[in-house]
Amino acid sequence: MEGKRKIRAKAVSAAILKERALKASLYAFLVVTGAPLIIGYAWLFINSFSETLTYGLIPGKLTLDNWGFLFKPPSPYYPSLWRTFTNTVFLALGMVVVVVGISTPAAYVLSRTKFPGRVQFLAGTLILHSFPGITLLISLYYVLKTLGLLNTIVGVFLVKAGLLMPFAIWVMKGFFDSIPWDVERSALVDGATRFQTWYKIMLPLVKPGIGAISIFAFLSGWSEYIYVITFIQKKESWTLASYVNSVVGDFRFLDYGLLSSTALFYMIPVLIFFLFAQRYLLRVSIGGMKGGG
Amino acid sequence: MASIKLERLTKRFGKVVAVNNLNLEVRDGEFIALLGPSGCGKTTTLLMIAGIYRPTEGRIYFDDVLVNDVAPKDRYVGLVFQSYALYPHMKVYDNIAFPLKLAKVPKRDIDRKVHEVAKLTKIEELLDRMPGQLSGVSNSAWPCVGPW
Repeated sequence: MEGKRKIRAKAVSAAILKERALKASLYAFLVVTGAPLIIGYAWLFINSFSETLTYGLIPGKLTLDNWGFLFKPPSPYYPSLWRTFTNTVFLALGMVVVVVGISTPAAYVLSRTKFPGRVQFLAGTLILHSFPGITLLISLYYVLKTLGLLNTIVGVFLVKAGLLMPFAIWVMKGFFDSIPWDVERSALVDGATRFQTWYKIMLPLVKPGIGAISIFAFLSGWSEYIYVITFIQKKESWTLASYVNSVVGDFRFLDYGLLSSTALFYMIPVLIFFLFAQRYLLRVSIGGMKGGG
Repeated sequence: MASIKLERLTKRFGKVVAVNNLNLEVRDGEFIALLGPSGCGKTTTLLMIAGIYRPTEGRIYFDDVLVNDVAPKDRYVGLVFQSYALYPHMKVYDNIAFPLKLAKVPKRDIDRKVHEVAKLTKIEELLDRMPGQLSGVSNSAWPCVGPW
């Protein structure tokens, strides 16, 4: 009896050990794969607060000098930071407004009605989505020039919104598809007009979807690089991407302190935004609405 | 109440014929049940009467008034749907009040009416809940609380 129990105890502890070893190796793997990312951000952070670095990571003398750009342009070459910041916010919010404003009604119509060319339209949006935007760079330059939208934020967010639209329409269509027809029908029978049904019943039910595409639109506007660099030269219309880009730019020696502090500054709003948006994003992964959702 | 008359009612979805040449008269106050295997067109017929579907051919009369082109909201028809279609984002109270609000009934009257029907159907204590927090039974019980 006693012996049997001992054997069993040994087997159990062996199993526990095995599980621990598995877990440890899993963690080790994750640490190794995650390290480059974490070291990168750590470098950025430490570098922005110190004068010199030894071995790339150990800060020399702590200083706030690198953050001076918040109050005064580091050289006359740069435009006002806050002007640039406002431009970036404007670009990101403009994306949100255009993308949500157009893709939501479009997705509803695509989800609920039949019209000639509907299938072709959906297929067309998919093709557009898989089109690399960079191939359009030159032609878009001419289009914006003709429209007089070169060097304007509006021009950039119209282009970006257009490219994001297929994706947004497909996401929103999925959300509308998941709402049972009977919900909409009972609203109609209850005395709502078509528009009231859409506005009072359907829209609240696809809120998680609207949240998701807003986040996507905001982030893609915020971090837009290639179109901003190509279409906007005028310093008054710069965004933070152009600002950071010009720090790296080759007109003078590279100031790593300034580079990391501006890069961090560029990142912070996104991090804050993400903290708030996280809940919405998580809800999205659970999916749309089902029955009594 | 009113009488309903269906004349040569036909509904086709593409090549599929859902309802074929249906003639039916329902007199005022009459109780009628449509029976048949699934896919035979019961729901399609009801949805045409409610105005959700437009008939491909034929006419629908309420009290001898042609209603083919009348919008669902102006037909004053009540309909309990198969999958009890609650509005998932509204409390039970607002679910019941929704049609009254659309009809621009004064707020106080809405409140009175909602509590009246809730009392009648014994769901008073559920008025503050969301549809997701209801059990199956109360779920299917409540659409009967149609305000018409």
